[in-house]
Amino acid sequence: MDESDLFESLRAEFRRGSLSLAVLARLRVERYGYTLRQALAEDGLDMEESTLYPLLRRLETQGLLVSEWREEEKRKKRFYILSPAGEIMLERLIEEWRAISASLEKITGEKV
Amino acid sequence: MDMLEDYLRAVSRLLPKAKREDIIAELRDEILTRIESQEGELGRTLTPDETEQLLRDFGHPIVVAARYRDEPQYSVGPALYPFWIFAVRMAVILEVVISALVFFGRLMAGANPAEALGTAIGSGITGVMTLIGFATVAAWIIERKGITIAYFKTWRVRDLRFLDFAAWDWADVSDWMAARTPRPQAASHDYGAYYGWNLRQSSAGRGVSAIVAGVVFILWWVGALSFGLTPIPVDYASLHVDPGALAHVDWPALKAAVYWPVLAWSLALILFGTVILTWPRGVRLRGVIDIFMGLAGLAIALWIWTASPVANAIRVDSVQVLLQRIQAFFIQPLPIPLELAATVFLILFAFGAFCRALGGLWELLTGAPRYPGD
Repeated sequence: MDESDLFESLRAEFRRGSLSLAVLARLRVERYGYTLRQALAEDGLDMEESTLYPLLRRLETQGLLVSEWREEEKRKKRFYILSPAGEIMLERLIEEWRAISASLEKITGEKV
Repeated sequence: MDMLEDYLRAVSRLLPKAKREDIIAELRDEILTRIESQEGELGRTLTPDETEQLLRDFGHPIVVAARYRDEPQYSVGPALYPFWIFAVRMAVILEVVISALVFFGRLMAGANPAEALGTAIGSGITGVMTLIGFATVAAWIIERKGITIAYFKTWRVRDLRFLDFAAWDWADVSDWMAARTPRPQAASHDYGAYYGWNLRQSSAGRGVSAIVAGVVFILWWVGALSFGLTPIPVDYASLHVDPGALAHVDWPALKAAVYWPVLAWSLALILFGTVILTWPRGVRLRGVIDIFMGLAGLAIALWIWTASPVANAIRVDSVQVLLQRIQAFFIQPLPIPLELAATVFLILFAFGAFCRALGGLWELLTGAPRYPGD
């Protein structure tokens, strides 16, 4: 494995854990898959559909999201939004992320 | 949009039935939205090639569908993998050693070297593949059924000696050949150190060995695992062995007669190992299984002694006759009397079974483990 491949794999590992947090946070407002992906991409977090949709489903089974089918732009679309349990979980995750971020700042000596 | 429907049909076939429609509807909407936004940018409809490229970017149906599955997307997960690869390594060593032994045994028995080598390699490879296959199936089931293996949490340091064997190399052999330093005296709390190697294992260690021994034996017994032991005309004289009446025994008939009892006994051995691993404190239950296995072993031995096709060859009528034969063996060891060897082996087996039943009875009555430190 050369250096850039290695970097890619470490980077992917690094990003993987943050995806749920990003998705939950973006779903404070109701969205369907396509617009959610666009919103995340605009924030600099590109996510493949093949990752996003199964993740949405998993979060819904876990009770953190609720969804409903509704018609929009002539087609039925599935809209997702944070559930009350999801809001609590999101707060906890944000707290955790801040703690990790603070630790890393201390360790690396870099202010983000 | 026929191409899109073909693609979605491919995905839907691979999805669990209950969620199929819902997932496909969502995917269809996502892909259509994408196509429309691309068409909006281009100001024209997409060519079939462009549509196909877009679907390709979306992902292969097998991958897309797999992401929706709840079960793990691997056969052996990272937590189990070290144990799996260790088991596979042991299996390969075992198979190579046995194949080599059988190969040299055949050479000594006067077989054609090329033929013997061919058989050894052939059966060796088949055997290794079979063992790897079974190890993988076991791991696959463990990963999916969420089976927790108590051994991973309850292993004892004194069980780890088997790793000495598993990981030895030539450096160890030369160490061993060089000055053998006496073992340091075991600390007084190590009760097991007063007993032999076997007794020093903890119950978890015994459980694992019982399962491994049972599985390998059953695989061999039912013919799934071959060590190349197919019957060959043995030249007893050149091996300095005297088979006596054993040479005329109908072995296939004997195996057919004990097939099911032996299989049941081995399954009981695996069950015994599983009980130890999953419920280390169930001393009385273990005792009951021990009693049954001991009695069953005795019954098998008794049957072999009195009624089996080999009974005439290995039965001795009195202790005196047996002692005479043993004495005769020490005076004149060659050719080795196979009948006597079989008799002694059977007696030891029966004695072991008797002790097992007795030990089981002890555990059932007292509720205290037979081996200290369990």
